[in-house]
Amino acid sequence: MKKTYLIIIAFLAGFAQTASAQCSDKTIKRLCKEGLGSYIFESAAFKPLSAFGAKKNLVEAAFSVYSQENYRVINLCQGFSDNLEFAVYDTDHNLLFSNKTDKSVKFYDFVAQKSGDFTIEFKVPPADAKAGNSCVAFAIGYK
Amino acid sequence: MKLKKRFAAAGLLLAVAFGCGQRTDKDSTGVDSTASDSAMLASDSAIESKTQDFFQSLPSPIHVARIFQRAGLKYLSGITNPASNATKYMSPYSKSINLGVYTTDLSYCTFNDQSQEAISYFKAVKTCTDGLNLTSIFESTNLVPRFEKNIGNKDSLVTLMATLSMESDILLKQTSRLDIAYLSFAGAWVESAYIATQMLKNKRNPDITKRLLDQNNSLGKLIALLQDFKDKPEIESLIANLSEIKASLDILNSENTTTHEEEFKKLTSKVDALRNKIVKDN
Repeated sequence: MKKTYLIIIAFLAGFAQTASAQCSDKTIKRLCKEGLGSYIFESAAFKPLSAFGAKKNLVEAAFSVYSQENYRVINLCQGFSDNLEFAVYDTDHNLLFSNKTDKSVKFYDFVAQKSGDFTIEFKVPPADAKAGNSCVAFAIGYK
Repeated sequence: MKLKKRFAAAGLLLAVAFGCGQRTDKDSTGVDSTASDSAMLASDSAIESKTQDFFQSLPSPIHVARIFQRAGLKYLSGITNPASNATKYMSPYSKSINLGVYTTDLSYCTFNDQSQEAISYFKAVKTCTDGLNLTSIFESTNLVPRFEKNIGNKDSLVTLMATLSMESDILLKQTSRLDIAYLSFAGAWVESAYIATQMLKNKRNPDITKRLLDQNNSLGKLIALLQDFKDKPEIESLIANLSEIKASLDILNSENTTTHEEEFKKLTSKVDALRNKIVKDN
């Protein structure tokens, strides 16, 4: 019986460490390098889902773009039960992209038509939102 | 009762595991406790207020320099902040803001094939980051020798600048040193606006003017982000100066073209004054 508890505790401790490591600088850098391809790093944003207070079901972030520039936005979210659904909106909040039909798609390439703020939106499944031990992250690259 | 105790033990172990995880992440950045205790660190309450939101994603100063260069911004000798000034900046504020100034100068020289100057600015950036206890940015990547080795190969230099940008961006966010991130961006923003306005003062170029006016969006975000740190007098003053510049950009971005010439002179003068204050302030 004692052995069983020790195994459970060790498993939970290991799980906690994994959740924490998902938002580490090393992990984010590695994912950026892997995901940007020929695009040049512009910026990254990352935070544990637990840091988003009550708004865990829908996480939004704005990023600046300049007209006629080529961009890649990469979904770097880690530790969710499935690939996360994400969408990209332009400066007028028109939907440009969503991976709703194929959640395995992790990036979106585009040429900005106007300078201003684009929005990236992540939809977190209720079960993951409740657990809260995963990492919401994305990066932007340019050419 | 025994079961309760065992669950309590599990909870304690989990708490330690989470705590250790955080510590390991921080340690891996190479930021020591002195850095964490730095006077420039934001107050706990300011950091706490940020945890409800995502990090604001500001454009890379290197990309902004690239955009200006594509628009036709040429190299003007003697316009940048001399790299030798880097050792004169003593306060965390002046180190942070001039880190941004030098990042723009580095990009400006690299994109305009001024290799030797670029090396000096790369070292000036290192001086500022070392002074802010951000040594791991250069140490972990061996960037200076790699930069020197690739002089003359612009593509490689741009790649190395992007590595520098990624290392600092991620490190500052990982360690919640957002005041340094925003001040550095402020310095970079002002320096790029300074170089652009100095060139436009002599010769008007509609493409460069358009890119200059495009900077209004990131300036608005920056001013908003700096509000969390306005309890520091130097940052309060910076916000006031940047807001005056934004007021001119707002007018120039409006449809009323008849006011442009006069307002452009005002903008140039405001940018000039702030930039000189930044590079001369120790």
